[in-house]
Amino acid sequence: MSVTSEENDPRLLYTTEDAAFRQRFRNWLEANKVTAKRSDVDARRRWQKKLFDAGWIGLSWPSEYGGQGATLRQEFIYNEEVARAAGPEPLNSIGLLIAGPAIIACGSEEQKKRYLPKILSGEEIWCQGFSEPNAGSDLASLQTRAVSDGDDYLVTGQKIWTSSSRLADFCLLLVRTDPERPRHKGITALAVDMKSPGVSVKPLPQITGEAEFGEMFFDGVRVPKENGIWPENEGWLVAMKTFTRERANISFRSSLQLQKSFDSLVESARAEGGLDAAARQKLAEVYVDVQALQLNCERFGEQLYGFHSSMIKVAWAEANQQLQELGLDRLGAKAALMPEQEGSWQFGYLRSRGNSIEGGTAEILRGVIAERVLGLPRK
Amino acid sequence: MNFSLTEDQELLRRSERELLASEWPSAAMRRMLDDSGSASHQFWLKISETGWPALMIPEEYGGLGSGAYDLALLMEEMGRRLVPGTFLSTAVLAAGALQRMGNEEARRNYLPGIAEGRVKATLAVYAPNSGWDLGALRTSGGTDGQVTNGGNDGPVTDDGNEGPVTKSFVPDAAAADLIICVLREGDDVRLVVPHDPKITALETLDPTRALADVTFDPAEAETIGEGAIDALQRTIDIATVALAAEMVGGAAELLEVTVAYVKARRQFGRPVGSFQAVQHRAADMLISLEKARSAVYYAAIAADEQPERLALASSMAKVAANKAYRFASQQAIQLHGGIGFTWEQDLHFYLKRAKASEFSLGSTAWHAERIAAQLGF
Repeated sequence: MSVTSEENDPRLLYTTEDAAFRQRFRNWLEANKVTAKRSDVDARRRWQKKLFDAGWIGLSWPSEYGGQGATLRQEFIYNEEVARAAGPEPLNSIGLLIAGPAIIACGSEEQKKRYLPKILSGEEIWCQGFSEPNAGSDLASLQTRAVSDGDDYLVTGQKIWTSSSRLADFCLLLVRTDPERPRHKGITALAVDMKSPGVSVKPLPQITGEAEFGEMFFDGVRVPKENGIWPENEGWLVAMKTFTRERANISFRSSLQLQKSFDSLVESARAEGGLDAAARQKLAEVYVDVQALQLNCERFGEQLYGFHSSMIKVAWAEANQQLQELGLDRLGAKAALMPEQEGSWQFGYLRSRGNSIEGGTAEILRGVIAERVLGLPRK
Repeated sequence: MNFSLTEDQELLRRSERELLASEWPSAAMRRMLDDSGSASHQFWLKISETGWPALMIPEEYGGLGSGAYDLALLMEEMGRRLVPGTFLSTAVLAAGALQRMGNEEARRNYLPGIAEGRVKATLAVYAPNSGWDLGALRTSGGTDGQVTNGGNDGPVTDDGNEGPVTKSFVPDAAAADLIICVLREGDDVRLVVPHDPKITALETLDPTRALADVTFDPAEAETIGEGAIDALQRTIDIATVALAAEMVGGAAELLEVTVAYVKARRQFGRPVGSFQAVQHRAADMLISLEKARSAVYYAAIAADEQPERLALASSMAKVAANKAYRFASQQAIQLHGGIGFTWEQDLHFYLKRAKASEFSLGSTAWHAERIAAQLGF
């Protein structure tokens, strides 16, 4: 019995209308699902195209650019079914979750028509150039410079922590266009063709030994001014709008992924003779946290477009870190070994240490919760 | 699942909050501590007028027949103020057991009185050897060779007859007009009302909640009903959800007063709520509170709509509420600094309530084991 069987599903029934939507997508997935490793780029690209051709991607996006105009509830159901089917992740995740929503919110009509359909189909892969070596949590201190040169900018600087940087065709890049203005008001967002002369990318190996992320270097890269998303010096607002509705989906999706890890820990504990009382109780407490995250997502609903998502992110990172460590500790002496395969508890433990740093550190997010949700005075 | 409140529920919640603010302010709670029950009795009469004890009782016995979600919302409001335990013991525990296991005569005799506020009642379940594990209540009779002590932890007499039975941690027994005791009977349980029980009040950590040992002779007790252990378990599970909801209310109140305090309190020329160390604790209070609130609402909805999920959901709710209230009650004192440590502030009452509630109807470890058993790990 899987712990995520319908019998133990924490969520009660949806409306009939939603149930029909669920059934339709579930049927499609069953007929079309493929399996592919995360590293199998071609298979993930094909999978995205398949979803696109069948209209099962970009659910919340406006229909004139290839979206479906679905409700948030339907998106949650969609995510549940994706998790249930355990299919591969579409290749263009940054395009779908970050660049696309930013263009929808801030792009010109021309830009929407130019970029959005190819983001959905996976024809053009996007990456995100926000963080810099000296601008992490303090993003507004970014220094990558864009100097005006006729109809173009000349961009020079370095970005870091860029996922998919080696695959990407385009980058949503934050640059400083006016160093004289207050720091939040001199930033511009650009769509940069990654094949432009002067762009170079270097992998950035992380503590697991893989290189999920890269560093990007821009050396006098010529970018047409018409590639600016929103007016010059309004890029901070674009960055703020990057996470809109997708933030709710990222929250919900990650809470579902957590359920998967929980299930696999339970499966292996069962297969290998159970847990001692301390580990069993700890695991039960983590189960409560995992369920509570999913329930919070449902209860918060559209509040997740805003600052409530910070609560989910902090709690998710903590729960995953506890879960991964519990899985590793259970191995006893074997915890000291490093198996080759991705998906081992060793790998999971190492990777999970990044959870409370990436996408907003736990410290920054607690500050956001305190000031924006609880209304405490700003520093 | 639909977590959203209907307009009626919103209105109800507002009127509940207003009534509690006017009828059970801190001063009333403090009066209760040394007036031998008169303040809490006045409060009981007041909420009875409003119909609260009738909430969960079926309409045919003079109740309102409401569901567990309405109960949870009311308990959350009550948890914001430190109300006495009469409501939970009478309207949830005793009324629930009567409704599910009482014989028709007993239901007719007692439920309307409870609904109208004329009868205060309680349910005695906990026995020293079984704790909150109903399956571990010992069977009486002794024909199967088990320990024969009335199932309920009294001594066995030399001739093999049942000796007196002692139930412990019985809520509000001293003030109760009706004490219903649970005895194990094979695979079932029997509800009895002892004729002349000995009630020994216990000194409690939480002075706003009374507990007692109840000792009685099973031969001198009237049987008023019986049922499967599952029926008793359901009563206990709903009470657990109600208690967890009350705990969520307590944690929510503590977070609110703490946020207000750290906004107003200034040190080093600025509000202490602008310091990161303070902000992060407050953020963690909110995170654990919201987890518990979702788990409680989910369990209440399960009780109403998907009873087969109640066992798991009630344990999830209690674990989450135990943690949230404990954390909130500790951090509230810490973030108030020295003033938070004074008797004059109410925070210590919440600290005591949180700890007492944590161990009432099953501790975190107990419910964690119950979750593990249900999920099969």
